[in-house]
Amino acid sequence: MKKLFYAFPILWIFIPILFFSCSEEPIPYELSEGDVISFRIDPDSTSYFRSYQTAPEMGGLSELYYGKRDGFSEIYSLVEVYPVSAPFFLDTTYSSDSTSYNFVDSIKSVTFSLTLVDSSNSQYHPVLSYFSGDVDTTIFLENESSFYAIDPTLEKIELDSSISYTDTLENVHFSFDATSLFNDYMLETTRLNSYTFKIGGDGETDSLVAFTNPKLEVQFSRTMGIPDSTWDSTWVDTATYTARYKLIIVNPGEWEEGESTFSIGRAKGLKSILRFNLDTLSMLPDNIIFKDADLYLKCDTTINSFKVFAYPFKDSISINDIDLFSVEQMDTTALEFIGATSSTVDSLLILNVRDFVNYIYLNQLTHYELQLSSSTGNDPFSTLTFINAGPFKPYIIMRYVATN
Amino acid sequence: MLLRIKVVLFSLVALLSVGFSQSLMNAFGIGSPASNFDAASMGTSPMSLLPSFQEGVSISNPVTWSQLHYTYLTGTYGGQQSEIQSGLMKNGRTYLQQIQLIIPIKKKYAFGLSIGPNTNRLYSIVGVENLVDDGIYGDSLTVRKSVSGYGGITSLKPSVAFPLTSLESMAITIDYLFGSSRGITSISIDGTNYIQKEQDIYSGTMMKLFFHSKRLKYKDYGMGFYLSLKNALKPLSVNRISHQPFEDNNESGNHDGSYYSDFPDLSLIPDAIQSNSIGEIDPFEIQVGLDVNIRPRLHILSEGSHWYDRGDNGHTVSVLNDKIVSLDQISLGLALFSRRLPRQILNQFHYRGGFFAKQYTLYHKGKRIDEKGFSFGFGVKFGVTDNQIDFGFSISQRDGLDVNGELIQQFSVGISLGDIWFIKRRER
Repeated sequence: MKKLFYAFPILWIFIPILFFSCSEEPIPYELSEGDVISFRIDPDSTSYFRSYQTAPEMGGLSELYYGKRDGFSEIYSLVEVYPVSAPFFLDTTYSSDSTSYNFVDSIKSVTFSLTLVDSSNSQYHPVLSYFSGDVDTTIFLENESSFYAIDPTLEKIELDSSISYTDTLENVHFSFDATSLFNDYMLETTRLNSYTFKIGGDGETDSLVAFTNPKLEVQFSRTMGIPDSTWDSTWVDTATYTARYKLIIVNPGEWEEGESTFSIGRAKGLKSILRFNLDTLSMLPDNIIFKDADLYLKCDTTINSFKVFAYPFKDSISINDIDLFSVEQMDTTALEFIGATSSTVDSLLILNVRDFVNYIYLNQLTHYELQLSSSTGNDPFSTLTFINAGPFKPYIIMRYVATN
Repeated sequence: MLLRIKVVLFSLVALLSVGFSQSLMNAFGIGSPASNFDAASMGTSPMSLLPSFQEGVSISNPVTWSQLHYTYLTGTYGGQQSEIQSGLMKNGRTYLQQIQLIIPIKKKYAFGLSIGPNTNRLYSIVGVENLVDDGIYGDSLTVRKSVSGYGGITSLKPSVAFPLTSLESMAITIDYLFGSSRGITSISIDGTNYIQKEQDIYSGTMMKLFFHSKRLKYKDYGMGFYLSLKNALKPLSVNRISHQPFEDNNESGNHDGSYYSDFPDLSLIPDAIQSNSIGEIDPFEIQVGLDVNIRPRLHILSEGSHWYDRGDNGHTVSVLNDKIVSLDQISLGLALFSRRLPRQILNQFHYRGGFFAKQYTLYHKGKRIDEKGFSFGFGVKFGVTDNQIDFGFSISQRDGLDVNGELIQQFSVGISLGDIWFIKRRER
């Protein structure tokens, strides 16, 4: 009986199980579709689409500019070639065990040079100025300083005209002799030194000239000696100082625009505020998910590609509070990028605003204003204007999925 | 030693339990009532009220437990396989049906405690692929919905039985229902899945009264009349936790992702929405059974039951927006029990068989779903304490759903290990 007890239960349990295969196959059945609902939001009386002007945003570009372009009265670049070390050129340096010393015995030459992006602009000579005032001329920060932040009364020294030359790769370079400037100002230890240069057009330049690689090259003679010895050695060396800061300064002028259009453009400092009435989103059912949400904007010209950034405002804003032509009104740090991208079809710019719509639906945002700005990838001097009139007013279409 | 073997066997059974076979029926309301009969009852019709475990005893009917000679620890393990489309589509699972402790006291009283699944919500359903035109976007979307769920309700049942008169006895079972299930709705649009997950949490208390009378007699046949009534002390309520749907960009099936993340971003997920009492199941059940002893050890067993749900919103719990509102069942069985003290091996066996018919009614569709089938099984006693192994098998066909001709096969294996508790031993 004991044998039966041991063997019998196990067999009776497991033998039937062998005939059952554990499997799970979905059963086809006519389920309700699950709603995919699309709707369109058009402007209403609480909507507005307005441009406003802030400081030009010219940072982050790989090229610098001088010269002229339609719509801009003044375009120049600032570069700072810090750190130039005055003690290196003025003092005697001893080795760590004091068995030798060396010093710069003479400055042979100092040149400031730049390279044109397009060698066909070689006839447009730049004008180089040095900020010589006894002040801290580290007055600009890339991405922040602008035409309005540069004091036009700052003392400047204009250098002699440039010399152009073409290298073996057919690149055109302009160089300025800055030897006396270097000796008289940059090595002057009794004052707060400036290392900032301005590169502008010569007034005759009627084109926008792009350039790169601004730098200061110092050729000097150096002597090495041994204390209590008549032995010494002299050779010629070169120190190159490239630009630590680079900035394009543009006088944006005043932008005037009616209510039937709104625009964006970096050099003009133009951004736009869009407000749709999105109260509808709070009336949507719980537990839905947006599949698409797109903002449609009609451009006034045909464009091939133009990337637009859209930022929701963290705080609510009243259109009446915006001085449209004040350059200090908006604080871009108060905005948060939501990753909108755009594409264009037949001058219709389509902006993916699904994140923005979702923010509002999930009560992460309680206001509906959206800021449009031009991406850094666009031509910084171009301005894109959108139509806000008649059948071409902006609109949003979106569709969501309701799983229940 | 015996105790160790018992522990090993029951641990094995518990480890192997994985759930129920999925079915369309499980997607209605709170799911399909689990077929958690003991193996002996399954072999008879299946029917739970009438004695099928031993002569005069049903494992599932506490009013009969006082007839047992020993305390029993019973485990039932089973499997279910359903086939549709003439066997082209098969779903099968094995699962633990119940564990039960039954303590008869002085041949008059009994106490029992059992735990087992009450309702099964295992389903996986896929809809038809549709091309949906979007007039506003001016495009067409390929949409396909699928729903799946798992989990269900567990039942913990303490029972007491006591005599009313010398011929009548009664038992009370309190049925504590608890548990949770998960539901997943996935809508595939142009190959991208939009998924919503939700969790249903159940709680409720039922009371079931059992009655047994030996007073009836017809000619020389001994007859047993059985009745049970089930009502809700606290109707079963369903609380739902709904999670924010997401676009499953990384196809993981979960709302996750750091590099190629799902939408919306994890940092934006709002708290899950908790909805209390989204559905209430308020069942009432009456079962009547007659046990006719036509010959020594040979019984004809007949049982009928009517179950219906008085709750008015249980259908909202369902992904199919419907529920089973009533279930009527009749069954007829035959059982030949073993001898008390068998001399031949064949006399150690209990033999069981029967036919049954069920009819489910759906709340919204008003549709009737019929299930007809037969069952058979046997059991064998062993050991001095009347340990018993039971085996039951049933085959049925379900019609009336949109999926017609569903063939369902079930088996159950039960092990009942006896011991002497609360029985006065002889003095040496």
